[in-house]
Amino acid sequence: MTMKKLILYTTILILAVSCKKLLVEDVRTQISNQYLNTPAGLEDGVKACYVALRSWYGTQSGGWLTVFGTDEYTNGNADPTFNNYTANLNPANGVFNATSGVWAQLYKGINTCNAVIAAAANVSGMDSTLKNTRLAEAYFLRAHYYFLLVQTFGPLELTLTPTNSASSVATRTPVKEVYSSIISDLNFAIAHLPKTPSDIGRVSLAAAQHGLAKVYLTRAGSTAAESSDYARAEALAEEVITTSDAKLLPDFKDIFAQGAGEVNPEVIFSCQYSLNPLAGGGNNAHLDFDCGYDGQPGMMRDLANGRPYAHFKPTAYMLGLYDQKYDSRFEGTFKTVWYCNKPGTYTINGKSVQMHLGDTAFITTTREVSQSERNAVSYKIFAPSDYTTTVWPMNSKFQDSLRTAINDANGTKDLIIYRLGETYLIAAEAAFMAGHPDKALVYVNTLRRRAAIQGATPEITAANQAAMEVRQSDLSLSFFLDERARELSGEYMRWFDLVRTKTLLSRVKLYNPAAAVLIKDYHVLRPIPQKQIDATQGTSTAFPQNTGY
Amino acid sequence: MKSKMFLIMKLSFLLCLVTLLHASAATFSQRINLHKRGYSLKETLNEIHKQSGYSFLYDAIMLRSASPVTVDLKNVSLKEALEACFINQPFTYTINRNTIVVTPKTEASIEKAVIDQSVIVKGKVTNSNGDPLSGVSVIIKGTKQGAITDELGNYSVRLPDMDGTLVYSFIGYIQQEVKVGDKDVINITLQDKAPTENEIVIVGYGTQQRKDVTGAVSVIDEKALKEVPVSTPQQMLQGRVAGVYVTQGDNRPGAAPSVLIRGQRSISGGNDPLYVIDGIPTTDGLSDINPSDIKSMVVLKDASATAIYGSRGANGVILITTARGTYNKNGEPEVHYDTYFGVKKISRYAKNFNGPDFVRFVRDAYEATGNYDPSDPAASDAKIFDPASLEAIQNNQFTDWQREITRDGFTQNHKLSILGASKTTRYNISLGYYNDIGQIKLQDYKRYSLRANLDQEIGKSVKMGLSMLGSFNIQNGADFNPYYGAVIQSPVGNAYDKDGNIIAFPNGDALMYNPLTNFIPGNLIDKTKRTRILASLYGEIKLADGLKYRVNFGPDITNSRSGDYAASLTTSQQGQLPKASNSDQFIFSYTLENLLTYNKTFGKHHLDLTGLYSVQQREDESTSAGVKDLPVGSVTYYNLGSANTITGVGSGYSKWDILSYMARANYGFDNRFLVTLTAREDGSSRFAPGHQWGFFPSAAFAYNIYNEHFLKNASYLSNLKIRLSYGRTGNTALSPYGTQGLLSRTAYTFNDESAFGYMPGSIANPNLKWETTESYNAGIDFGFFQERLTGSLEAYRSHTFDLLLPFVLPTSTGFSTVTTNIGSTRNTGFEMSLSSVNILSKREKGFQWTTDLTAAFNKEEILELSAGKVDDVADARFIGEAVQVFYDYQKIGIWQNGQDEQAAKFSSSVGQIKIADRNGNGKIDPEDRMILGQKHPKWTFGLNNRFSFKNIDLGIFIVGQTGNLIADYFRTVPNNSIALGGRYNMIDVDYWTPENPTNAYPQPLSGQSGSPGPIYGSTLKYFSGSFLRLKNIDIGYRLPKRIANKMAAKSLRVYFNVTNPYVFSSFVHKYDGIDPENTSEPAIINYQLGLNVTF
Repeated sequence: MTMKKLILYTTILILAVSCKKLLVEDVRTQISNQYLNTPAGLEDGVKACYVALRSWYGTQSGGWLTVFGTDEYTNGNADPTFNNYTANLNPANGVFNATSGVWAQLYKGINTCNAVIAAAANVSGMDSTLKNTRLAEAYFLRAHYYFLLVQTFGPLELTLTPTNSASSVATRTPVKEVYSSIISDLNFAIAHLPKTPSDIGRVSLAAAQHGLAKVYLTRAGSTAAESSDYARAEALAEEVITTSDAKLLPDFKDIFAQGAGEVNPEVIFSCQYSLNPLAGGGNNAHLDFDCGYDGQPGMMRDLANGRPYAHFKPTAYMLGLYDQKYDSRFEGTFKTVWYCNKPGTYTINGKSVQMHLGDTAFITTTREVSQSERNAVSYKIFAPSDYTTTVWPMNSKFQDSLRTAINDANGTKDLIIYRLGETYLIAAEAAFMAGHPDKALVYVNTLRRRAAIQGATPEITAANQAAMEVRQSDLSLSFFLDERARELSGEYMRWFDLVRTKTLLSRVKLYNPAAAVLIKDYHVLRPIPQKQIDATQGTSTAFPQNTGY
Repeated sequence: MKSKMFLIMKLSFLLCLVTLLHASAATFSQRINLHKRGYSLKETLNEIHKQSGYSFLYDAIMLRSASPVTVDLKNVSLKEALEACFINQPFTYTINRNTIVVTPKTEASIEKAVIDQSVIVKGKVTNSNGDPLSGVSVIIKGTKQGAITDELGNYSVRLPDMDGTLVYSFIGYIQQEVKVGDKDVINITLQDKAPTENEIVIVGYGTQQRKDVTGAVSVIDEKALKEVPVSTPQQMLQGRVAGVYVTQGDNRPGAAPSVLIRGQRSISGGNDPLYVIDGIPTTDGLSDINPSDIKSMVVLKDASATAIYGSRGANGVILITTARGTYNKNGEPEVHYDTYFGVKKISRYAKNFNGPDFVRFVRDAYEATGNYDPSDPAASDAKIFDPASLEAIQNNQFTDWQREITRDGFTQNHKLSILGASKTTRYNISLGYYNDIGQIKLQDYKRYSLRANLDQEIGKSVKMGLSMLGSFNIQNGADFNPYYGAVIQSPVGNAYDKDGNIIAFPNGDALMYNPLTNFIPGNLIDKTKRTRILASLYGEIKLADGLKYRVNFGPDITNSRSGDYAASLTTSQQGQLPKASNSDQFIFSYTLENLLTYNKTFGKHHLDLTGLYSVQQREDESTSAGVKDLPVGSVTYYNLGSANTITGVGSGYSKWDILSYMARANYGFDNRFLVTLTAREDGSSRFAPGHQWGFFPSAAFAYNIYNEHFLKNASYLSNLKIRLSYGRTGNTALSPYGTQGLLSRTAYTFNDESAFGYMPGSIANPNLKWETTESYNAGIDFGFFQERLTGSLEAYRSHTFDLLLPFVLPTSTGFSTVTTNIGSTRNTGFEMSLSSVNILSKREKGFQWTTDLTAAFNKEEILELSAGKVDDVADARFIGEAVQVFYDYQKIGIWQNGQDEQAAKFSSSVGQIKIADRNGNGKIDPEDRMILGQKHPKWTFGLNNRFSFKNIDLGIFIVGQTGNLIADYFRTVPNNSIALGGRYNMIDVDYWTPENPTNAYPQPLSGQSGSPGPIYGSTLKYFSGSFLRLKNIDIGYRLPKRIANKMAAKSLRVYFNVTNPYVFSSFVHKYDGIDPENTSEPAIINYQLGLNVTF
């Protein structure tokens, strides 16, 4: 054999032998799903379960689906689809249909919960109490996601096991079974959750109890209602009020104060956002609520006043609900005065005005004002007849001045999901519906007294508190809806409240003229995303669309 | 007697050769003068020899019996002289060319005294390299008789007389005619028809003679490549190769077009062809390659040609060969300098509202929602325009933002190359510089390239060489596209105030930041630097006669680094503190191939065997970091550590390998029958064990009918070949780790601190296997009238199955898709390529006109999807339809005044889009959607006409397509450019108002945003994609040689070229679209002035 051939054959031989192992994949950047079967993996899995909260609370979709198109809020300058119930509120609408839409995102959250719950059985070497606490968090979140879905879409696919293989089989499980599953999950959560969670932001026992109370209250108004629902709701809410660490804050407006992680005793459960740019997420609620102050004389866009999308314009009904003399919740909810941040000379009410920093630039009122009243001041007044598509009294609960920049859409403020104020209203409504108006009155008045305007002296305060009290004869379903509006205005739940009390159509037609034109009976459910139907084996036969869409 | 005669003839031939050497001037017409009395015949014949140059062949002993000769001849012909001399002699003679053979007189020879003038011509035919050409036809002009050269290029033809002319013709070579005259031996060197080695076709892992090719292969040769200057190699293919569909989706500097060969077959996997550069398959694109270094591009279309690339050949293969050194007579190096300068003029902008029209549009939008009272315009304007806008409207201050952000683009290209060869070394070194300044400000691209190709022979059996490309390019604005923003920016307001300061919010709208802030020098940096080293090294050893071993090693290293910086005054920051980011990517891939080839010819059989073992690997590593709140803007992205906030840090890694074994046999019989058989086995790391290996066989058969004896007399025919092939190819169509169930990272916070988690991110599917394409091809190559008309026809059908398809899951599973092997597609089509020399000049540099025509039809069909033969509505995939179709509602007009009730029935209102209720159920539901058209054209064609006269050449190139639908970017919801909401500027459409009851576009409604846009606004975007484009006109002038020489050049050509001067398209001319091939950017016309010099 010549040297040449020797080299040749050796080369071929070496290459042929050494390369077989090249076909083994080498995953470096990602983690295999086996990780969930370890204690650390379970912890990380549970953290991931929370993420879907951010696809609803503080998103435009979550807001559009619950805030306007109701009696509380109408359309300011937003796309009119959801307020006006236009033809664009259809199965192809991205709010439902997109991969980033609420349907897909909440189900992603559910699948994560399912994966964690399934993996827990394989986890060894973990403290069983801790494991159960974490599991309980996953159960709570799964129930929470299903609860949002079932209220929005009605009967739906109920899966309690993780998706491990491709299947296009899906069916619409009746509402009754969905509620059973939600209740069972929440009962597990109540059985295993601690009173004080290990971290702020995690689910507590009170959250699960509040949540279940709300579920019962809601089921009571659904086709799956059971006779004991109101009583159970009442009992659970009462337990939160009496046994949890949660306390009503003395001053209503402090509930929504920003800073220090928005931790206060009234908060039972909130969707977490923070300044942390890598994990803080982005609460977008401020965008939709902020009104269009910029461009008004003396005003320019700044951080404190926010980036106004001006979507959610309060209805006349909403603004007229308060007895502004005694009720601090109007001031605590609505911002009506804007102060000059762009000094200069402006023409206001026909006269030239030299405006300084901090001067009142314009105000919004809830009553009409006369020309003489206008002439008497050196700022602009927006009375109800002057409201534009962007300027009106603005719900300030979501204002976010800690964002990093003027036009930064990513808010940092937590979005409150459950707070004790609502627990009182659940307890009151449930007690009233269960036939205990006396108890209902106690809860209502406790909450209303808290809302009284703090006077200069304790006497005035006491008088205000007394003035806030209502009598048992004042109580009615309509009263509870009004009271919820006063207390919880804009807090991502109104549409559900109206649907559960079967008052969506009547109240929208009464109080929201823009929405009144097109709203139909079938609008009490949202359309099933077209993608879900198209992708299901048997399409609309197997997974029928909600009536009307 | 016969054999004796033969011997003499042979002898005479030899003698004749000798004689010719010193008597070549003699001619038959020479006159003879003889005054002899009693001379011997021998002396007399000697005299004739002296005078005429004719030699005499005779037996000296025999001649002793001759009678003495007495003649007195004056100025007679040779014939007369001979007749006189041979009277009464016992001999006779025959003239064979220049030799006169004297033989004893017999009965027969007396008869034969009639002179036999037939001649035999022999010779050898070679190509310009001196290699013998076999199979060349040598025909006697005006007859069908002649011969074919043998393997050594030799031929022998018998002509009736010396007046004949021989015609030498061979496919791929310029036909030559030679008058035989008195020549016995005619050696011919046939010149290549084109300057390239047209005869040799580069096929995968080797070369073949064109006549031996069995697959569907198209070649773009150097001449075609040189015709038009392009910035990327892919652009060369458009309209020039039938069945290749090229789309330039993006006209920013440095952007690469996409190429689709014979339709789309893979739905989720790539449909890009495999590019093989100097033998090395590459995965990282062609953008680094200087197109002028390319010598030829070969497109392998059918499975027989591509199956040798197995798993990577499913989408066709494009083989790119760069120029190598060539040997010339003097052995001197050649120096080439090629350059062009170009100006890119914007020919069409998006047609949006001008200032006054925009104001009218806003008022109409507010009026429609009851927010504008035309009877009180002042008060109403005050409500809908903010103070800044009002002032601008009053003062007529409007800005056309599109024109503010654009400019004339400019390109220049320089290439200097030195190439040459000695007996054992060939080299080509080329330096390139390309600069493209985009028509959108801040976008530009620079490329510096170096190519070195070297081939060295060592001894007789070893050859080594390399092709190396080093490329460095800098791209600015790769991710910066302000165009859409400029189209929708309200025209109200000025960009600058009286003092020349930029106004941040020109019309007061807080979301319409002044886009010109980006162009303040240093405010926005988006720079990508990319270095690429792509090499191909080989060594070849001849082990035995016909047996060769070759090793190829092709490393391909890409390093790209991007830096982004946005100052506070930019549209992205809008006054916030600056942000910056960096990212780096390092890709190393290599191909290692071991090839063993054997070829042997025995008798009429020819055999070529190829065996391959190869490894390919690609490893991709990346890192990135982003920050904001940079205290000092001047650090841009060079000091990320100085920033207050880190917004993201990331890194990535992926790797894949393919192992392959391949064997190929080419067998040819008698230059008529050709068979190619290949088999390739590929193993890919992307699949789970057990499914890693795929087997890709192919077979092809070709029949050179032209070489059949029964067609020898068909002089109109110059080529005829039929080809049939079948083969399988694969597609990995899966990203690495795609079979594994992986978790994805999530971000949340507890206690205001990071709480990162992991959630299921993908569903594991270890059963995934290769996506396979099975295809059939039938082709015919033909040539008529001495190759004046040539071409080929191809018909094919390919069937792709086990499609790696995202199986669309109901989102209630928590996933939207999972990749599975489901479904199949089919592509059926036919292609025609025709080249014709319409006018062939008889004279050198006379008027010449040639035409090349390509046309291709392709039909895409989905055969099966995830649920069998069931449509996948969610993804708009339908059985029997093209892979990508537009499925939507059908707009039939606008609800008109008085149709309130009907409109309300359909949940719509007057002035809004009217949709066809196709199922007639009285409402618009998803069932009313329909297939409106397909994305890819059914027909594509190209027509190239070239004219030349004297030193001037002119080319006109037209491309076209039909049968497809396009979605206009600017009329696609959710874009604000079609919002009809009265806030942003948008396309100037004929919208509905009560006074203008058009059926074209709906009524604008204030507050309506681009998302979701007008109700059923998605129906507004569809237009016919058919067009006929004047792609190129180029005119060149080659300076006369003497002038060139005066300038120290061997040759010098100047040319002027216009690209994209005109397009015929209803989308453009009827619907104000920008361009059917690129709807989202301004259309440009490229004017280039170029120079090619050879020193």
